[in-house]
Amino acid sequence: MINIIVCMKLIIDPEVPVSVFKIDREAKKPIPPEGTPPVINPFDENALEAALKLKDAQECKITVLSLGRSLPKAILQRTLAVGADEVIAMEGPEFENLDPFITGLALANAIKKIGPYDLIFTGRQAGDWDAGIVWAQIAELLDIPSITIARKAEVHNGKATVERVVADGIEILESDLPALITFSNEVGELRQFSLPALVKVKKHPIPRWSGSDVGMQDNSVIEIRDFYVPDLGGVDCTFIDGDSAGERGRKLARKLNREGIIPKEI
Amino acid sequence: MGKNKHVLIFGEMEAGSLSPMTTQLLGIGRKLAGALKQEVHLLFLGAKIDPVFKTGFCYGADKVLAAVDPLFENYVNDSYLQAVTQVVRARDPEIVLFGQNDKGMDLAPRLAVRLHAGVTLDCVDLDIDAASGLLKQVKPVFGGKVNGHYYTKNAFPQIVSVRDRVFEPADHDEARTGEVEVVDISLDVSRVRSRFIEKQRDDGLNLAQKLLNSSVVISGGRGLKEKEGFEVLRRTAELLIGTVAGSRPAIDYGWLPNALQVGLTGKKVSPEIYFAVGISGAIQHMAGCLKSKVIVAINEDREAPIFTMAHYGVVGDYKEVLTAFNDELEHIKSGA
Repeated sequence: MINIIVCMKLIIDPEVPVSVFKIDREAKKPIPPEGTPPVINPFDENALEAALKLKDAQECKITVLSLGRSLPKAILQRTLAVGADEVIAMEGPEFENLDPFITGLALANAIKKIGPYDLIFTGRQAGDWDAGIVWAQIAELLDIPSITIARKAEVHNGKATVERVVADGIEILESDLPALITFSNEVGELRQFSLPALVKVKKHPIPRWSGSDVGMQDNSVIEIRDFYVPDLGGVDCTFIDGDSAGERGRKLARKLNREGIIPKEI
Repeated sequence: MGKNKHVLIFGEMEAGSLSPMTTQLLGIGRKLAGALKQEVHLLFLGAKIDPVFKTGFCYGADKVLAAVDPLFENYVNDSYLQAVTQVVRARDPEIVLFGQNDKGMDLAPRLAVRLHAGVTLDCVDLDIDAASGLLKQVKPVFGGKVNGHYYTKNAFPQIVSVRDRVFEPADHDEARTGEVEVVDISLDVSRVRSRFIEKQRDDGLNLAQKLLNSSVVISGGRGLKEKEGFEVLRRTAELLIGTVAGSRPAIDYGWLPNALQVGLTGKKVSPEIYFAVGISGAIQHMAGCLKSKVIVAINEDREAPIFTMAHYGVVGDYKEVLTAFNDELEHIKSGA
């Protein structure tokens, strides 16, 4: 039996349009848009899917560990309905908008509290703050090897075999257990759940842990001093005039060439 | 701050020379070191000392350091991290720069945690704050909707990774030279708990790599209306030695493979010229291409947001515009 812990963050839906995305510049944080529920960080969904694929092939126990100010039960139950065995909710105002160093410490302590594990799966980063640090904090505090940006992980003879996505291909790596692995979109999307599966998990107990349960403390080493919406517009667009689309196209080629925008060697 | 303070750069080789990312790190590294009146040191890890390490001097490094061990033939976090940690502990740099790539993203955060130092990944601007002498680390967050200015809270060194192609490469001066200094490291092999097995090249990923390296990108979006619409973009790509890419709808409709998606959930590119064809300019897409030097937008809708972010705009049917553009380009190239 392979014990896998999947860390899962809920974030403001990255697809919300700019028009409804507002920030509190003073507090240096976003204001969650009303009426837009949070979503599972897409890379964490990839990590859960990678765990489920492993469970398809081998006997595994998957525990989802989620942390946030408010964790809607429906989202937590969805992870059980797709095949996770347990889900733990670290929930409360103390978990809101945490710095990655604090988050990593809380998660590492929670993992120790869960007990023996073989693999820890996380997303490569969270699609809100894009820090990419939490995984490192967990692996370092637990003193276990890590492999990042994977698309697949298997276990053979007590070792993990991992496909790591690099710029020009895939690297196959092997790691002792326990190990931490981060996953990317190359894993593929999280599978759908069936309605009967969802009904089955409705009564499954979900433990709730607070900050004091996991020894939270402020160990932050970075600070944000300015937080602002950059002026994305403001570029003075030079429109190409002409009587027809074709003429405008020809003039664009001549203009880009004349102004040296198209490199001479081309 | 001790007097041996310096800016340390994690150097990488690519195809027998310094990687473009490394020359860019030397470019920004020189600027930061200049502001701090410090030196720039360039570190390589390798199975042996490569003669190419020396070219680091030509790109402005004051010292080129090499940590050598057979284990460094292939990248594994456990071995590389041990060595980089030892070098940083022994030499005490003020700032450590990595590229935002598969090694930098893997090394920088664990190095920082191990040293109780701060770290910011994927920076698009770096500067020295005149008042405090601290490194201002500008990082886009929330899919590029917001910028954060990150600073260390008195935890050194200041470790960052830098997005590819946002900084100019350092000037090359053939006359600059020096001796590569081999640094002492002692690897505890029992602490190397993961191993490299093999590398497999992947066509789909090669596609992505080509996209990331292209100086001209021609992207199509929903406005192309059909898969066949990419034909005219492909001809532009051939003429400009560029790569065709797409926004999320173009991938969702199955017009292009996943590897060629530009945007928040795809690749972030910063070419010399970015053509946005039939792309409205939603932030989720622009997060992947706003750092391009020149953006050219072709769209039927004069009011599309893309025109507030593009340097050149053409309103009209993309097929007519681009076909004429291609013909004229061919005409210019033929020298007529």
